[in-house]
Parts: sequence; structure tokens; C-alpha cells
Amino acid sequence: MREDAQNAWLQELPRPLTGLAWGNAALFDPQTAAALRLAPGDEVELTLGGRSVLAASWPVAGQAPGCVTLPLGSGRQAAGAVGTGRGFDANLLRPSDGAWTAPGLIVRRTGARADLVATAAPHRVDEAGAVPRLRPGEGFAPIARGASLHPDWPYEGRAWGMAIDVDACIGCNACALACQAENNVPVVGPQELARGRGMHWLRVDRYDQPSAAGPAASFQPVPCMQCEKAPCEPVCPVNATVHDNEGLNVMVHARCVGTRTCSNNCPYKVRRFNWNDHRPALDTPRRNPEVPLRPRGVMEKCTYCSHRIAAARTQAKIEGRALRDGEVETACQRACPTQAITFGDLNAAGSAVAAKRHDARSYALLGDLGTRPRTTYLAQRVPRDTA
Amino acid sequence: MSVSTTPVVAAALRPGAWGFRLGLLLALAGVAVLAAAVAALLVLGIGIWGNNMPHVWGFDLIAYAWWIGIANAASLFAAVLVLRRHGLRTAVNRFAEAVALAAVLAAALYPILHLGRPWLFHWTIAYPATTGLWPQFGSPLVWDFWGIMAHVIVTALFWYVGLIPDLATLRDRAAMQGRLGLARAYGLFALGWRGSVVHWHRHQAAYRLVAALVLPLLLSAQTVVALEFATTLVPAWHQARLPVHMVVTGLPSGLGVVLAMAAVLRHALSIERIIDAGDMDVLARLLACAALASGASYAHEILTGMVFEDSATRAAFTARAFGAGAPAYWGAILLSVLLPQLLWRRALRLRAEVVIPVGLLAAAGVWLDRWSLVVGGLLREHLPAHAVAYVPSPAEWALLVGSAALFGAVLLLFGRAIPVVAMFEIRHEESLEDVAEEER
Amino acid sequence: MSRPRPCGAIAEFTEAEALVAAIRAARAAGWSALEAHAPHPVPDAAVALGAKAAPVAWIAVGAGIAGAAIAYGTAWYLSVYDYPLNVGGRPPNAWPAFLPAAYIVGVLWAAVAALLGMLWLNGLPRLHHPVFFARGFHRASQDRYFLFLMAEDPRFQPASALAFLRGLDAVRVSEVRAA
Repeated sequence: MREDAQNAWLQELPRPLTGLAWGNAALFDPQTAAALRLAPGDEVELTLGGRSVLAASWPVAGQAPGCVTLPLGSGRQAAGAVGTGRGFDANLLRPSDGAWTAPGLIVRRTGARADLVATAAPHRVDEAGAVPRLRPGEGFAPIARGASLHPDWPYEGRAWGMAIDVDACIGCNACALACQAENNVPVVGPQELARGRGMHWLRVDRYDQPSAAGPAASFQPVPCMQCEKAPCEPVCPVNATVHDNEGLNVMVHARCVGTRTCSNNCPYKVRRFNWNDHRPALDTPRRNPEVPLRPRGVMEKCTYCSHRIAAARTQAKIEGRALRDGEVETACQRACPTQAITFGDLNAAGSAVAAKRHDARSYALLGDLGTRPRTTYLAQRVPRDTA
Repeated sequence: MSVSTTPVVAAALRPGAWGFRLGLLLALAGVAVLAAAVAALLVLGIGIWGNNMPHVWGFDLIAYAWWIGIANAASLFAAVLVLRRHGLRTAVNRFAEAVALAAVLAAALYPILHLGRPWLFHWTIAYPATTGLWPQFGSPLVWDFWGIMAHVIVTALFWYVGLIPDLATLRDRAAMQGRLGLARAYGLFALGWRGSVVHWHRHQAAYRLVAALVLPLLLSAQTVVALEFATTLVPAWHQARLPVHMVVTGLPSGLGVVLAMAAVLRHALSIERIIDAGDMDVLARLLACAALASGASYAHEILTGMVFEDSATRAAFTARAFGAGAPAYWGAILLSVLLPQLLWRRALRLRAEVVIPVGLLAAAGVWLDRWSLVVGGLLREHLPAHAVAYVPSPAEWALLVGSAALFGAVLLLFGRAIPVVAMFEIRHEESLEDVAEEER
Repeated sequence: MSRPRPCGAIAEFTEAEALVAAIRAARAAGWSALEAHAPHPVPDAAVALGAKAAPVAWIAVGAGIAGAAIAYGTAWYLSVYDYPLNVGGRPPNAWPAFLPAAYIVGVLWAAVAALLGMLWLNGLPRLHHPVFFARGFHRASQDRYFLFLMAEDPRFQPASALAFLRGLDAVRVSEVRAA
């Protein structure tokens, strides 16, 4: 859509399979790219029926060999400051009869590097066991608490937690976009994104899972894990990130001096730093008034939509009742089309999130580090004859 | 006897030579670059640097750890000379301490400037604020606040207290020459030192005591910097050996700078008799020894990193030492371990044109090691991140050049205004030699 | 106008050994208020004068222990009682994390106390002192050694003091009077 091309949220949102943002690329299968000696991001000249365009090349697992996919919708001439000139216009090569395929494409490497914004490597292998896959009948032991030098900190009231079903996740990135809209997360633009300064509080990691049945991928949404033993907290010199009594790992923007050491110590790398002042662009009537804008030089991260928790808590108090399970929905949860995300009170008997946490598929990401994450995952199921 | 310290005093009291003026001009130009870099940083923010996620630290922490290493090794060296009552201390103690002090000042820039909001750095200090909040005392950065504070205060006091008797000498010399204003200035800082034998006794006791206290303090200063890395969960950083490794590999930087400074000073100030060939000989061999110790630490690192560590750490170390991080890692070993081995050849180590570049390149090699740790250490993390390479921006280069210029300017002014070697130590040495000769 | 009472009598020596010998002689002769000045440390002279350095060390030890205790105590009190927070699930008194700073502050206090305590014991800074008015005293910071018999000594008489000093191996003997 032309309207969508002008939407900076959408432009900056990584495409699920390629991880590219702010533009498109000609998609090759890895063997074809290797045969043409194309490194990811090399510029190619594509000629079809006497017309040619310059495009970036990008390898994608699952692309048919000897065949190139050219995504439509980019390379616009008049789509405002946001949408104009992002990527290349594949319509220039499209046959006049509107066919979706055409033979006889000529690919020539120009030797230049294309202006491409990639947020993920083309090929990602799950070496860390981030997305384990279970065959029928298999399951994990209950999530262990792990040893600690110190006694456990008791959470007798509510204990917020999240369970994300990797099996249900289709990698659409709607959660990331909903989070961005909800929490006034800035769009940083292609230059800053290419420098590794994206601000998304929630990212969706893709892992290639090739099998006998063909190429496949697992998608794993990664928000802040809200670790009970949060490694980010003990390294902060000014108490800018601490726990509240319901176990939330809260980020106190006003207190942050910007040492960035919390990000160093976060094994999930979900913290984001305001390298620049994004407030002028965000301070419009579009913004969510419930969430403060963050100044330059401070850290920010997923809060489990703590403003929604606070609002629900207040409402329950006014009505003189306890919080109901499912009353607090995070923005990512509400946006998920497959209901892969469950949120709630782990201490409440019979809560949906507690049930998911005790499911046999439940596991903690990098659980052996002893961070005791409140966000846990439900592993992917695979048929017996694959993987 | 009085003849021998005259060149030292002359150097401190004579009008500037053209070489000094040129050097100072260059250094002050560099300090102006520093001022511009700092101003740009404060106005525009840390976004003008090349940092990103996950490379939240870059030139800032590299330079910090590097300057601390130089200060650390130079101070350690000075303190050991005092404690061992080594003859070399008369010649090099004072400016080894000055190198340490100037390096600490250069280092102290970074913990403040690297903050996202530097104007709030005082929040790391425990003071009763209106918010009622206190610092988080368990943070390695709060340890580091105290580490750098202690480093600055003790290095400065140690240096100053050692200087008091020499300031008294300068006071009296200036008074003899009829320069009463200068005599007053020196006299104020000499605190009325009158050379009382009892005072000398306490002075020496306190000086040696602090020299002994400097050892644990310096080890802790460098160690705390290392702990900022070692206490994190980053696989390449989370190692118990890291503090020791940083102390040991830091030695060639401080000794290299002291050696190069000694070679420059003895020619520039014509004090070849005071910092003599024998002193240069010992210093050069010390650097070669430190480089060997550093090499041993690297060997241990490679062995543990490749064999004994868990798989995440092995993968991280492999990327750092044999993958994309290899040039910095092996560059560090080449410059700070292998190159100083040239100094085992006597003919080479007595030549200023060899000793000065070898000393400074050893320091550069240690800088590469810090780069390899801070940047190379993040090449592999727990999850396969899409790490965009860290490329320092011109603003960061300006800050590095500026801090080096600040270091140079402080040293030049120091060489100009006050005795570069401890005059009372020389007198003391020579009185002891006289006694020894008479006994013979 | 009556002559003011002198502050003391001073003898100048060219060698440290002569100074040590002179101190011993003065001690033997019963002089109690005396000070020696030298351009560098003369340990024998300090021993002859009965100088003690131990107080410097005790000041350092006391200050070091106090500094470490205060550093740990502040961290403990402020984190446990004044504003307790849940930081990474650690207990408020996360003692292992409080030790490094306590150690550093202890060493800092010890070092600073040793240096400032030394100055305090020495009565410095004292920019004005009668001995500076002694003839040729500016060489006490360069190459001469001085023995100063102070007028505070109950047996001090200008004439006898000068006579005693003249009996030593001095290059110059003079009265010291404050200007």
C-alpha cells in the first residue's frame, strides 16, 4: 500500500524472513548467490526483457535455486520523506501482462555494495539452544530455580510473568509493532538502524531450521525477560534499574545516568539506549500519554506494559475486587494473531500463565545462566519424522 | 656534592627552550582538540560516537582501561623502587610518579564523559539527595568510583609529599638568586619545610608506608576496571583470571612510557649524569621482563580459552583471538610482548632512537589489547546477535588524541616547573656513597 | 633599646657525619631542646635525636580501619535501613559486593592519613620559623647540615650555647634571632 510506504513504523520493522528494513532486496537462494559470488548486500544489476534495475542481493534459505524473488512495493518515487527511494522498484521488470513470474533474468554483479539495512544475519543457526524442538511425547523437566549464594527474595503478592509459545509464533512481528506504538518507542531511521541503534523493545529472532522436509525457520519473540536475578540491576551504580514488589524489573528513566553497563550485562540484549534525543519526533498527539518519553542518554526497555498493570490495579481497587486473570493484557499479547503470548500472575492459582509455565514444553531462555527469567517459552513441536 | 643537582634545578628554573615551547604548543593544541571534543559531546550527546548495541562501550572504556594501566604500572614501578630502596629511584622515581599522575588525570576524564548524561555523574556519589536515593553500592562502577578517586588522591599526595623537600630547595635557590616572588610561590607549596632531621624521619616513614599502600591500591584500581568486565555475563569477559591478566598485560604500557620519557628527558634537559646509561639499561631490561610476564599471561589465556573453558567462552575466545578480532589480539602481542624483547640486546637498549619507539609502541600494543577485550570480546555472545561492527567516529579519535595531549601537556609543565628527579634522593645516595668510599 | 633574647644558637656543618657526632655530643652534654637540619634524610641523626616514626604507622592503621568500617557501614545502613531496594534479587545487605569499595576506601584513608598525619606530627605547614633567619640557613636545603640549640632549653644561655657549639667541628656558629 502506498499509505504503508509512508509509515515509518512499518519501514523500520524487520521483514520476518530476511531481517531487512527500510527497503527491499533481490532474494537469492544461498547456493545461487554463492555461485554468482554474491556476498549479502552486494549490488546487482537485474535485466529482464531489455529493462534493468539496480538492487541489493540477499540470500534466503528456502528460495528456489536458480530463481530470484523481487519484492514489490519499494523504490517509490513519491511517497513522502519516509517512503521515497527506499529499495528498488521491482515493477520496472514486471512483464506488462502482470505475470508473477518471468524467465530469462540476467544478473550482473556491479562490484558495489548496496545501501541495505539489515537487522539480522542472513543465516542464523541456533547454537545456544534458544529454540529447542520437541518430538511427540517429549518434554522438559520443570524450570529449576538454580543455585544462588544469596537467599531467595520472596514474592508473596503478585508475580507477573509471561509465557511465549514458540510453536504458535509465525514471526509476523505484529508484537514488535504493537509494542512500538504502545510505548512511544522511537523510529531511528535507516542510517541509525544500519549502525545497530534500533530501539525496538521487542524483537523477533529467526533461526533457520533446515530438515529433510525442506527449509524452515523458528521465530522467537524476545522482550525483556524480567529476570528475578536480573544481571542488569546489580551493575547499575545509581539504582536506575531495580525490582518492584511484584517482581517487575523496572527501569527508572529519570534516575539513569547512561553508563550502559546494564546492557553489557544483559545476556538477552533487550535493553536499548537513547543515543540521540528522539523526543521531538515523538511528542505529537499520536503518542501514548500513559508512557513517558525518554530523554537522550538513558536506557529503556520492555516494562511488561507496566502502565497497563497500574491502570488495571487502580480499576480493581476502585471496584473493590481482586484482579482477574487476563485482565492485564500487554500490547504485544493483544496484537498477536495466534495468541502465542500469555501474560498474568504466576502466583495466582489457576492463572493461564501459571498453567503454561508448568507445561511440559516450558523452558527458560539461557536458563543455565541463573537469571531466573519471568518470561519463559513453550518449545516448538515437530512431527516425529522431521528434524 | 651540590654540583650534581644543579642541572635539575637549572632545568626547573631556566626560561623555556624552543623545543619545550614547540612541544607545549603542540600539546596545548591537542588540549584544544580535547575541549572541542568534550564540548561537542556535551551538546550533541554520545550519538556522535560510533557505539551501538551491543557495543555500548568503545573508545571510552578502552582509553580508560589503557590510561589506568599506564598509571598503574608507572606508580607500581615507583613504589617498588622506594620500598626496595633501589638506586634507580633517585633517577626515575619522580617522573614515574608524574607519568602516573598525568595518566590518572587523562583516565579520570572517561568515567564521566562516557556517561549518557555526564552532568549527573555525581549520582554515583553517596550524598543526601532530595530524592532520598543512594548509589547502588554493589555496582562495580561504584567500586570504580572509589578506585579512581583513591588512585587520583593517593597518587597526587604521594607525589606531592615526595616533592616537598625539593620545593624547599627551589625556594631557597630562588631566594638566593633574588627572585623573591618565585621563592614565595615555591615556599608556599614547600609548607615551610626546614629539613629537620626528625621531620625527615617521619617523612621517610610515611613515604615508604604509602609506597607500600600504593601496591594494593594500584592492584585494586586496575582490578576494579577489570571487574567491570569480569562481573558481567559476557562469555569472553566473565573470567576470574581477567583482573590479573589486565594488571600484568598493563605493565609494558606504564614501563614503556616511563622508559621513553626517561630517554627524552635525559637528552632534553641534559641530565645524562643523573639518569645515566646504567639507569636506562635497568629500565629497558625491566620493560623486556614485563613484556615476558605479559607474554606468559597471554599464553595462559590462550591455553585456558582454547582448552579449559566452557563452550560459550571457548567460542567467544576463538572469535576474539582467531576470528574477526585476530588483528587486534595478535597486534597487541606483537607490540607489547615480542617487540620489547629487542631490548635484551645491550647495543639496542642504550640507543634513544630504539628505546623511545619501542617504549611507546609497547604502550600502543596494550591499547590494542584493551580494544581486543572491549570490542573483540563482544564478537560472540550467548545469543547469535546481529552485531554491527563498532567503528570509532572522528569525535572519539579527537577525544583520544586530546587525552594524550593533556597527558603530554601535564608532563611538559611538570618538567618545566619542578625538579624532574628527586634532588634530596640524589644527595642522600651520594652521601651514602661517600661513607662507603671512606669505609673502603 | 635592649637586645631581644635570641631564639637559639646554630652550628653549620659540611658533612652529615659531623652533624651526627655533634648531636651525640650535645645529648651527652645534656642539651634537651635541640633540632637538626639536613638536606636529605640522615637516619643516624634521627636515631641520635630519639625520633620515632611509629605514630605515623599507627595513624595509618587506625584511619584505614575506620575508613573501611565507615565505607562498609554506610553501604550497609543506607541499603538495609534507609532505602532498601530489591536489586537483582540480592538481599539488601549484599555483603560480597560491599567489600571491594570498603577495601579501597580503607586503603585510601590509610594512605591519606599517613601523609597528612606526618605533616601534622611535623607541625607543618609552618611557613614562619626562627631558624630561617639563621645565617646561611638556605643551604640547609642544599648541601649544609645544621644543629640548632633552642632557647626553650631551661639551661640555655646564649654564651654557653655558643661556646658549646664552637667546640664542635662546625664551619660557622651563630646566634639565631627572630627578625
